Amino acid sequence: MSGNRREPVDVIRQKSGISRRTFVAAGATTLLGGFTAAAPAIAQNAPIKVGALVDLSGPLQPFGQGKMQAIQLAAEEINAAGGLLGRKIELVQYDTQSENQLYGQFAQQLALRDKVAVVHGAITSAAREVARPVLKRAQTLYFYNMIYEGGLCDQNTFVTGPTPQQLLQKLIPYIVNRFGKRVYILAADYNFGHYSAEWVKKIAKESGGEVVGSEFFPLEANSFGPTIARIQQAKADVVFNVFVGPAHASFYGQWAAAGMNKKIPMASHTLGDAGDQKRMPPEVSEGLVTVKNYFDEIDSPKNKAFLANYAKKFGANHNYIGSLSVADYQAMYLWAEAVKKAGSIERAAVIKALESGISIDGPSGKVTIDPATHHCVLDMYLAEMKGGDFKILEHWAGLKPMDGDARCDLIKNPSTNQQFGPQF
Amino acid sequence: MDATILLLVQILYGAASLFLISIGLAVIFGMMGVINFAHGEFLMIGGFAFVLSQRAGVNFWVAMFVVAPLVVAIFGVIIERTIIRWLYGRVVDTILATWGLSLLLIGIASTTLGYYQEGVAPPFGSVQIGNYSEGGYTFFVIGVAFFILALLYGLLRFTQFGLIARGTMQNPAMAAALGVNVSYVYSITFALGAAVSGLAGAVLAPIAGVMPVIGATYIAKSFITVITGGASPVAGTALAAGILGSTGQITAFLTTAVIGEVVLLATAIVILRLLPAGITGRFFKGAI
Amino acid sequence: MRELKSPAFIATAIIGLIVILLAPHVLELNTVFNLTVYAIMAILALSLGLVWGMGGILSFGQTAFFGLGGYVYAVAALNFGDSTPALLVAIVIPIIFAAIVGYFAFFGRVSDVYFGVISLTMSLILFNLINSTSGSGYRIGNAPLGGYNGIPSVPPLNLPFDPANALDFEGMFLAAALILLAVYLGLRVFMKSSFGRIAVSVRENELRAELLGYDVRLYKLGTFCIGAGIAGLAGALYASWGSFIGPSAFSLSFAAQTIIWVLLGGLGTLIGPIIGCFIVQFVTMWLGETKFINPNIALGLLFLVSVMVLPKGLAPVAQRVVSTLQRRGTAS
Repeated sequence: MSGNRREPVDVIRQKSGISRRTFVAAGATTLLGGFTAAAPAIAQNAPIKVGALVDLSGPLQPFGQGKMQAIQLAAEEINAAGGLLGRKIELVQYDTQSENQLYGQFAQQLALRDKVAVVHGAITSAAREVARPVLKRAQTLYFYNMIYEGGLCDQNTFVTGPTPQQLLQKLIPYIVNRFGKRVYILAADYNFGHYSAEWVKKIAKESGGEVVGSEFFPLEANSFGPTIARIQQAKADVVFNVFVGPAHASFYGQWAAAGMNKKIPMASHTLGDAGDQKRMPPEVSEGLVTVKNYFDEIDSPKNKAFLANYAKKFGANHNYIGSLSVADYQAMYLWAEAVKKAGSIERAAVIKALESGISIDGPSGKVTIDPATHHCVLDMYLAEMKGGDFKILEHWAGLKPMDGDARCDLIKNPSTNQQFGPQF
Repeated sequence: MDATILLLVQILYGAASLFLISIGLAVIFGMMGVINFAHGEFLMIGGFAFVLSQRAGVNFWVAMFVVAPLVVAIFGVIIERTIIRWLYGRVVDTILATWGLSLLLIGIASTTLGYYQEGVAPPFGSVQIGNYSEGGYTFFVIGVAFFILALLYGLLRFTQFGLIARGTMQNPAMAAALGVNVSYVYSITFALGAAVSGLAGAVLAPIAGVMPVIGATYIAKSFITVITGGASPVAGTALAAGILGSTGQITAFLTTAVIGEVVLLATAIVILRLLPAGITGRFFKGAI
Repeated sequence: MRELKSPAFIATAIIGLIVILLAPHVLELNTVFNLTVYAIMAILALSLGLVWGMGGILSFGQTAFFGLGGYVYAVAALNFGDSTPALLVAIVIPIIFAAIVGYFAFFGRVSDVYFGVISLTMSLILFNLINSTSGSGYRIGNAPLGGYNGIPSVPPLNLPFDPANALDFEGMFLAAALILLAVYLGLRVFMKSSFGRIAVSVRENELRAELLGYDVRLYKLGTFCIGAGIAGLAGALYASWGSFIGPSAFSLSFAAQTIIWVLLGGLGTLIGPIIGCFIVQFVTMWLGETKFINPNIALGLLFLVSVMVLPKGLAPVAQRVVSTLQRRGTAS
């Protein structure tokens, strides 16, 4: 128990940006906890700890920083609105340094030492698969807030980002109709890229198109000469890419240099995840088509308010926020909503509340937890690059995750702990 | 026909870009026996110097051919004076110290310069080869590679500095006895290698982009190219880049990008097994 | 085998044993979990300490054997359902791989930096190959290779030949720490054997050793293979610790980190790599908690300083401090 009471102070020391008052209050709690019998009553007012595992350094830093800021903003807003169940939220943030090993260590630390109520985090699927089993074993609720390959089915885990099928079901018919039937796929060589490519093949066929070529690239590939030649050979009408990370971003420059951006249109469902489009010169990015559940450019009151708060906290000329970070922001609110509904931060009660099909009205539109899969029903937007910004062309509300996939039903089979591959 | 020409252009480009990323490392290794593992970060700094100065209003070509090489050369001299010169003759220790320097520079770049750098579009538009279009910049990169090759060859072969530098490289003690200021020659050579790296980083920036971790994509390949090339910096690197770049690129054409990469690496291993001191350890001995 | 009877050796063994057995009772579970992975990494550090520090073989790609061990363990354990044979295979296959690479290189007289490049290249080839195994086509029996995503749900270690009895956190700690102690003590004995002494003499002066009639290629190959086996074992333990193994085990940055451990701790000693590994792991974790400074800056500085200021690493410094204290103790 003594170890337990010492923790708040440790945690506060580790994190920055906490007010002196909370520090003193927590210190007082610690002291009083040692001396009075009224400790349990006070403990109820102690802050609720929320864990965040995000890469703030290393190659994934450009994604991690925005995600951490989104979490911080949500926590601050919730606290400013009176907290949860009369308690403040206190973030325990660890920098996982783009190292999977640290995901294991810090997940364990959040669960066992910091005893957080919930953990948000992990960027890559590999990192998730290190943290997730640790948190499941330690019975600590987990949110994975990423666009990812899909199919994860685990009672302890909730996913707030979109899956390939959710993104592609509207995009692919759109590009086949607008640009032509012959689709050429370029994808990152990992599960997300492969699964996405399979979905594209299926959906393209259903909409009367065909895939005339597909190539996969390691994540550090940055030379695309032979590929650009092959695309021309295949006489493609449209190129669909699943590019991921900074190395792949160099494709766009090479594509434009060969003058191809004026000849063959290109679409993607990864472009614009975290502001990568802002790093391209406008003449290179002009005309690229993408689909997302969130763009900074969305014109809705909820998003305007979110952008205003973001600018207030992080300065008016902050980086492009993008869908990756908004997934974290909305995940914080989904969880908070569930805690309110459950009247408790206890894991089973919160899961039950989340599984009631809880929803929030977020910057991306209405977000609803799909009880069977623990993924989210999301709005989708289709946009085209115009003069360095996204111009939103289409909007679809309430697209379900893992449509038509009956293999995952966590209400009927809560003990499922598996990741299903795409099945057609 | 047009497909064959395109393939040839791509092969030349593969070799040229490999030569560009390696030559700065090769000059420093060949002339001074120092392997600079922070070489990738020298390229990174060159890229940043180019992009940032260009955005600050400097002319595109001035930023590429003057600012980037100059910034990295000055930086190189500072590194040579503060770190490298204490470690001459200790090849392994210099690798390790510069490896540490590489991590340090990545850390500094990612905290100060950050990942949010807007790229620069490659100029020149495109060139039509039959039914195919190819970036004009591709030809420019090939041209720059030949330009650097010729420049370095001329500098080392025909000038006073080249003579002294080669003499120092062959026998530093003798050169010193003949009145050459060896430490000064080393500084200049290091600066030369750094300047070439800076230029290469700037030339590749419009294609590969600029970011703090870009060095990691270069270092292993350039290291392997230089060692495969052997002792003669210019000839060795040109030969190694030619062989490795073309085998890699041809394989990438016929199969996939991954297999192209693997074949490139495997070729290097086979060459080193057959010629344990690199290509110029056996052939073209004494070339520059 | 005089080493076995030396008081220092026996004292180290006993103290090590006591510390390891007591640790789980004194420390928080979370600390025990962290110490487990430190111990596993220290085994990897020891393997490089042996190959590079003792054998003088510049193995920049030592982590390749670690990754290979991890992957082999994962695939074998997923297929066998028992960790015992999986652990053995995870040692044997890296040894075979090292024997092939080593034969290729040492018998081709590739040495020094050139060998460093070959070993690093080998690691990068594995990195590329493993990374390209995404998609359902790439699976070995029950084990999907997973490409960049790695292999999740790797079975934990179990009691020998008893898959029903998987080790818990504490058991895993004991296994890792005891193996570390055993490898350390084993290597101490090994270095005092005639093979070990000759390996060191090859490091000191290859030509002289050769002129004395030893086939230096064989001794290098032997040392290299033993190192690979130990690294493979560490990889297998790592995969079972986090129930995960991924291609980052073959990456350049991980290779660099391993070299920092050995260099910081002390090249040419056996205790040095362990110390260096523990320090760097601890600092990394601390930086992740405090976000005090960018970890690359911290590790880079540590790396630079240890080459420039402490070329022999921390271990000799520590030894000097200890012996000074001892001398003072006897004087007073």
